Amino acid sequence: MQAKIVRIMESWPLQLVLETGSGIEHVALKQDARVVRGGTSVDPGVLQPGQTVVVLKRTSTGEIAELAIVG
Amino acid sequence: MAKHAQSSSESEDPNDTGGTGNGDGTGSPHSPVSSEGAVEGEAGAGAVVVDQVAESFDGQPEVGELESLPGFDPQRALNEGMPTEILTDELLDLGECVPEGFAPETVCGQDDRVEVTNTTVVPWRWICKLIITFPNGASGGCTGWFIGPKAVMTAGHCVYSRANGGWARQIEVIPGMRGATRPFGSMIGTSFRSVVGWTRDSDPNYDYGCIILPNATLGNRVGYFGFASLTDTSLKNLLVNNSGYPGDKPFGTQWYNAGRVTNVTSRKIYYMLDTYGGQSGSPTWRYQSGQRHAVGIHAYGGCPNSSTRIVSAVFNNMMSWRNS
Repeated sequence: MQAKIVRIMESWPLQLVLETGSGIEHVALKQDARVVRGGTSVDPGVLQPGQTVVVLKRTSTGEIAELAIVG
Repeated sequence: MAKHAQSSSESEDPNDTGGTGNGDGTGSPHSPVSSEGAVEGEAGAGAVVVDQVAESFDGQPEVGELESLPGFDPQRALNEGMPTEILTDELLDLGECVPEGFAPETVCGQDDRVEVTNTTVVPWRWICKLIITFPNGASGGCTGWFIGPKAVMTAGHCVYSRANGGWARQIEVIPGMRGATRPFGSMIGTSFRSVVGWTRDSDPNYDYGCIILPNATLGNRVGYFGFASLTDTSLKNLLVNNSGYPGDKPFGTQWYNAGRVTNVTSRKIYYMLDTYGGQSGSPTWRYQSGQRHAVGIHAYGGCPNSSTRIVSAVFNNMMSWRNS
């Protein structure tokens, strides 16, 4: 799923508000979620509002386990 | 509908993530809603035209005797909790302890956070590590701060998380946590407060909440922050302080940063202080003439980072929660 980050809530793990093709979605990262950019793992702290991301993997409870920054 | 209507964890079906505050979908968003039931009245809204201030409390140390143990310095224990702060070298290095006019670094990208190593003194002991259990089983961390004997202020998304199934199941409150050390112990809270603007509308302008603890033991011991609703004039370019429990540092360590307010809107305060996940809910406070007043509740990252501004409606809800 591709989405745009609208807001970043600074709980830990982070909670995000994403704008997807079908509307707004509230998501949380998993504690040990992997964030990648250009194939390289990066710190979740580099996430910024306005970035385009792709959700690569989710847990059974809906948390994001892997997220890629694509724009 | 006024969005500052209080919303409470006890007034809702735990399985209902819609969050209407009083269960029937109505209610002014500004009206206080308790976890035990109904809307209690309007919190009030509108532009801040005068400063409103609620004072801090330094806490009451327990009365008793000290054990005489080799190597134990009684002076630290005797001075703990007294109104006069113990200024250590570490605290003197912190922006909060220097005269007004000091301009610490404010560039968001450069991490100049400083660890608070003596968390047993004011104001650091007012600030709490929060360990949260959400309805979907996820656990998380935030920061909170005492505003009254039983009330711990934090961000709305720390007590009510749409992403994690709604109201938290429980939150462990650990004041002055330092690594593995819990100098004042901890308390579990299961009663929470927020406002309809957050729980129903997920409006970031209303992202604030409160934990109401079972009793006043912990709050009376460590004391609590004052808080203030300040005018735009008072806030603009104000030097503010923030301290909390970021997730990128060793677990349970408290980290401080300071900087200037760069922008103020009707509901938010923006700044370039360095923050990180886990610091949601931390206090953004003014330290002036020996007095400390929180002016915002840190909630969002993105450089600039931002706090939910304590405006009149927020102030009034906080007073209500302080007096719970």
